[in-house]
Amino acid sequence: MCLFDNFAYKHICMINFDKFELDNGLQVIVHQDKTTPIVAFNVLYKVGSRNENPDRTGLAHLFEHLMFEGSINISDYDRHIQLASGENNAFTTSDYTNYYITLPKQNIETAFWLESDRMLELDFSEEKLKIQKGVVIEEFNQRYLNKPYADWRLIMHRLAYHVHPYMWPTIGKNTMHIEYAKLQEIKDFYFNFYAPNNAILVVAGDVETKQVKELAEKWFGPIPRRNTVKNELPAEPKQMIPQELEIERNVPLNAIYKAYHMGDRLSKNYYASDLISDILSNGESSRLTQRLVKQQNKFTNINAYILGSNDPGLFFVEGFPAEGVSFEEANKCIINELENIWKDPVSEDELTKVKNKIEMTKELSEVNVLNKAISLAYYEMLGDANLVNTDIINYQNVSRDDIEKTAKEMFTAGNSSTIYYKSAQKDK
Amino acid sequence: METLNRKNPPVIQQITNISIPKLDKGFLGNGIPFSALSGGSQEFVYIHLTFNAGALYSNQKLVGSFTNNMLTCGTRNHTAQQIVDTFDFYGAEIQTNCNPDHANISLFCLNKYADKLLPLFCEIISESIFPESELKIAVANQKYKWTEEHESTKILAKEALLNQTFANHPYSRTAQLADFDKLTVDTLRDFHSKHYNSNNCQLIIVGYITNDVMKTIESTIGQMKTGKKVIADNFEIGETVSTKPLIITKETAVQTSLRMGCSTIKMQHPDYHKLHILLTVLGGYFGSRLMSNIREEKGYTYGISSTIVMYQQAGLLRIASEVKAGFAMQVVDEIKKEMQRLKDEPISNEELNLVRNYMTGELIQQFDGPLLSFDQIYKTVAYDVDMSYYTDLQNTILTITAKDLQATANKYFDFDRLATVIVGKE
Repeated sequence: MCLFDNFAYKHICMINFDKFELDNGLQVIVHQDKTTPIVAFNVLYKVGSRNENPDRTGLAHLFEHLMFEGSINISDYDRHIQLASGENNAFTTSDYTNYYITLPKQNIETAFWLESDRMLELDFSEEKLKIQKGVVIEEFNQRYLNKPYADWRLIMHRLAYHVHPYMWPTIGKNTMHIEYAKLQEIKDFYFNFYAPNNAILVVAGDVETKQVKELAEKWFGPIPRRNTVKNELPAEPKQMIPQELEIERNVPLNAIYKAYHMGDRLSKNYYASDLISDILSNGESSRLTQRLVKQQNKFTNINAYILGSNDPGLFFVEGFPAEGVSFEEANKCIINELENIWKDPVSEDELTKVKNKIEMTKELSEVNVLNKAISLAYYEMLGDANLVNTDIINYQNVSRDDIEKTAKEMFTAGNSSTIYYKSAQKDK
Repeated sequence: METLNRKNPPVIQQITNISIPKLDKGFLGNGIPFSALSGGSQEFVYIHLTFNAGALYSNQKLVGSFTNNMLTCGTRNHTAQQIVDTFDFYGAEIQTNCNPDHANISLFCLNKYADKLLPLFCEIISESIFPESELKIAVANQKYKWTEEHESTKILAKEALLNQTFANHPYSRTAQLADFDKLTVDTLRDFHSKHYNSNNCQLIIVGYITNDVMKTIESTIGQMKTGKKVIADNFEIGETVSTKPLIITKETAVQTSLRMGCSTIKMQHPDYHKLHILLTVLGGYFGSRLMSNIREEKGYTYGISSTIVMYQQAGLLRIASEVKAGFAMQVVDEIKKEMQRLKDEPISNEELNLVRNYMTGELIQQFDGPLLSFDQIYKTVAYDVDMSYYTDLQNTILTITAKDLQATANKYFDFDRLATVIVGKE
């Protein structure tokens, strides 16, 4: 229909940065952007829920909450951020924990002061722990239990992983683990993982590297290096047998969820898998939406996406079968479309389309200093901050052959886990 | 070496000069008023049209939103699939969104593809044909979505609060499953031809706006067909139905959705900024009274907020929280206590200073680059204020006194009008 252009990334601007390391092992990255009055201040700790003890899950995230409850010299973290006209937040994943502040550049030292103090030591107390346990349990409820269907992720992780800590999600296996967490466990967790030599600091905005270096030396320099012990993570053996589970919940409609094991974030397999998920379900024109929703009316809504994780991750498909479509038929329809990745091969245009989408997403991710700072920290954790500029080439290099080969390897029955999420209301 | 005193905070600068961006304003050839803000280093543009074509403009439920949603479902020259293929191919995004007052459609694309996509963008706005087959699919899917959504205590609470506060006004109308089956393509086509014309819309452009992009916009959107401006009837906002808590029991709920609210002033009102600041003190940021009390002291919730929800014909003062099951009534009492405290006692200088600095920072961040500024520009276009709204806000933030806030609380926190909705257990 149209004369399609070739994928071009000539417009993509480079993100320039300087990098240095303090004597205590803290890695520091500085990105200068003179166009904004805002500075982004990002600290990433290389610890996530995969580092937790299987009997005390959810600790990394509970801990993230305690980081806001006061450090050894400063009792009211949030108030000082607000006084400095800033905003802040944090998130925890299975692989890392990320804290960020945005504030006017005039007040940048406040960020150094606050973040260095909570890297130095926290002001732990039973009372604060008790309250944050309550908050986290309500977060657990709000996000996973009081939301129809949302518990499927908890169940899927358990189904797909048997030895690797990805078998529990970041929020934890259940609320009991959070309820029974002890103060000593929290302290041990902190002193083991929250160390300058286990962290990456990124400062992005209208700043000079020299200025950041001086402030970093002043505030973070005196923090002692710590002996961080990381548990060896068991590798998940190759799954050979299909995993299936039917569960019944008080929801109005049936749903089906599938997961396939895929490669880790830096494997070649990752980029092909990401593009496959886009071919299947990114945008209205994608295969699953067009074929299964619009043409065949087998689903009312269906999506595919991946979990990019440091260790081998999962490729998900989730769908709501239309009225009268059985689980068996729904499952067949999905498998059919997954196999169509090689039986009805992806065209050059289709591949260009999803690569164009990746380009757009990348451009979008660079509109503000906060996104840039988070990306730089993330890529540095993966091993090289400059991936922020070059990772797109890895997508660029994926060929139609790679797509077919990856799909063939991944979408096998033995590699699959399926949840049939049955509506109890439908029986009535 | 001098030892570092970590107890002493670095000096903080109060920011007093925020630069609120100036918009380029004008009219396209066919009379569409536009507001543009150029900037950023990424070469993309966001092009947004707002039509007076929200739910308010039809007596029949769902007509506004279905007409808006189905703009990508086919024209005489292009099928639905061809349309989505083209936008997707160029990595572009078409978004439609319908609220009670307005129907919106936007295009987000790299500059280099604007000339390829804008003609099609205009075609779907002006020449959509609403095929029968597409309506059937949309109805089936939306009914499923409706059913799924109405399991959620949040949606039920939202609808119940509107019923309690905007009774008899179209804003409180909520669709039921049967309403979906009443939709016909003729109704949508009628509504479309009456409302989607160049005299009934406003344009916002943000991003990296070059002369080339403006020329393309002029030769496409600037040529869209003319028609008549449609003005909504002015409906009366009735009194709060009841101040007695409305309880909707849902035994399976793990949490309770709590909403409190009443109709209030609109953005143009001279007290609006003061009320906005007051609601920030009460529940508008992490350090707010409600967050400190209900989350940080008691751990009953993950979050609680107070805000003004904007509509063209009214404002809705609303407090919202997802609360630990069994504690909703306790939280209601605490909310009332906090509101009463703001009526009875002036806030301290320290707290006022904190809120000032926080809100100043928020304002700077809201205008950090054209894309983030869009939401602020949209408010001016949709709710009939101009950009001086933001300079006034900034001035009010810097000059408001504790006395002003207390007077505002006494004027607008009226327990005789405050509705309460509780969905879940208890």
